[in-house]
Amino acid sequence: MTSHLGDALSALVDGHLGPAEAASARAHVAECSDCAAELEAITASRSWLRDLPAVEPPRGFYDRMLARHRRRIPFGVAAIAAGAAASLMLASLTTPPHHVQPTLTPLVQDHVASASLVDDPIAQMTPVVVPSSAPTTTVVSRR
Amino acid sequence: MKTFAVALFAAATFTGTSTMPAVAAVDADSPIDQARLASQTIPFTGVVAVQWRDDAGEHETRVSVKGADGTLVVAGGKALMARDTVRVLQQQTASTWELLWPSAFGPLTKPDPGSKYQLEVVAGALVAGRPTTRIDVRSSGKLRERLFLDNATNLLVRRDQLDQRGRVVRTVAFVDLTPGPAGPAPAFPTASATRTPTRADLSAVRAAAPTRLRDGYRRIGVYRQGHVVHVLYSDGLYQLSVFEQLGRLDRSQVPAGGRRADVAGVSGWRYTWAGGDVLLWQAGRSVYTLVGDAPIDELVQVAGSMPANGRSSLVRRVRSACRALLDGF
Repeated sequence: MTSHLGDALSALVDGHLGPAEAASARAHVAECSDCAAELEAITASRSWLRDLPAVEPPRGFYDRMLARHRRRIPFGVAAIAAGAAASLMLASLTTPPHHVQPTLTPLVQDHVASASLVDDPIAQMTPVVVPSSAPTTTVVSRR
Repeated sequence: MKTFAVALFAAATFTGTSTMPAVAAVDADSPIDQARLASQTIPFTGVVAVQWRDDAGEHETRVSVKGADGTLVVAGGKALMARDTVRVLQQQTASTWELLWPSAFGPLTKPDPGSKYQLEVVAGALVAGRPTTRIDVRSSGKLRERLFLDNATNLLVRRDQLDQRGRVVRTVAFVDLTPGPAGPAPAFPTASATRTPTRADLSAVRAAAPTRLRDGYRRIGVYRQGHVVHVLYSDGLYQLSVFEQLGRLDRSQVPAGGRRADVAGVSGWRYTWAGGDVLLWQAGRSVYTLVGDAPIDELVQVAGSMPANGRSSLVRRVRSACRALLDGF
């Protein structure tokens, strides 16, 4: 497996990659769970930020901010950075995770199919589950 | 898992067809190797009964098996499956077969069980009316399995699994067995469909799929199907699969029939089926499903040793959000 995409994921989300680069990146994401997870997080975060309602600043906000900026630029930068960090933290904490609806049948099928191919008679005695509506399983006694 | 019908792979017969790999070297002193050789060379037909016990009581199901010329066909309920040494197919309709496991992944080799298990050979009971030799399989002095080999053919004809208290919790045994050709050999079907999305064999994986787990389990295969990563482990006797899915477990959609259980330090679910047990739990930012035929106490211990992917999920998500925020400016 090649190295991870890193910043190219953001470019992919923004549509800044050329067709060939985008295709290559998507192919990598399809194979790399780390990059797939990162792409999902980036997409979700941006979607969340994009959906935030616009907030109208109070009257005189810009004048006061510019006045402070003229007096103490470092503090203004720090304030903006702190705000960005807070937003960032909030976004990261509230980004809704992907929900997994567990389905056991295909997983059990995959297990028994792969495990039964191990070269020994024990594995070949492994029961194999087949999804079917046929009720062949019966309780013969209860405890 | 009430909707499951159960079929069984019994001792398969593998002879030298063009698709078959050469028979592996056989240790004449190893009863397991002798059983393996028998399963690769002796055709048979039979009926296999599977009995297992869970909290609901004791269960039983039966399947018919027929093997010859490297092909094994198993029928249980309405289900029909076929396999050789490298492929597994399931019948969808009378004329269509779905490829469950492609030959591209090849046969798998598991570790030598000798480093974990001790074998003792004694006289066995009659199985399907046939005299047998019994192999007691112990780990750390504790009896885990009893294997019965047919004296006449060396075929493995019965397998008893015991729990920590020495009770038999699962038995797989021929109730009817006829070695030798019985009618025309079953033809291996042609797959007309492949499960989608297709699987990929992974050459490199991250730390969530360690090469070794506790109790001597070694990784022998890593696959991906869609967003599900499948890691196959073996300790030489048992196989177990760990499936990882990124995301949050939707607890309202957990399959019915499970029981709550402590898994890997969290509250998860346990399911029992004819061939083993299933554990389902959330750890970090992933949902894990462990499927295996080992004793349940061992499966729980192995699950507890899994390194949860996403212990640093907050860090990762902050980093991702930070990158997204900075890119936006």
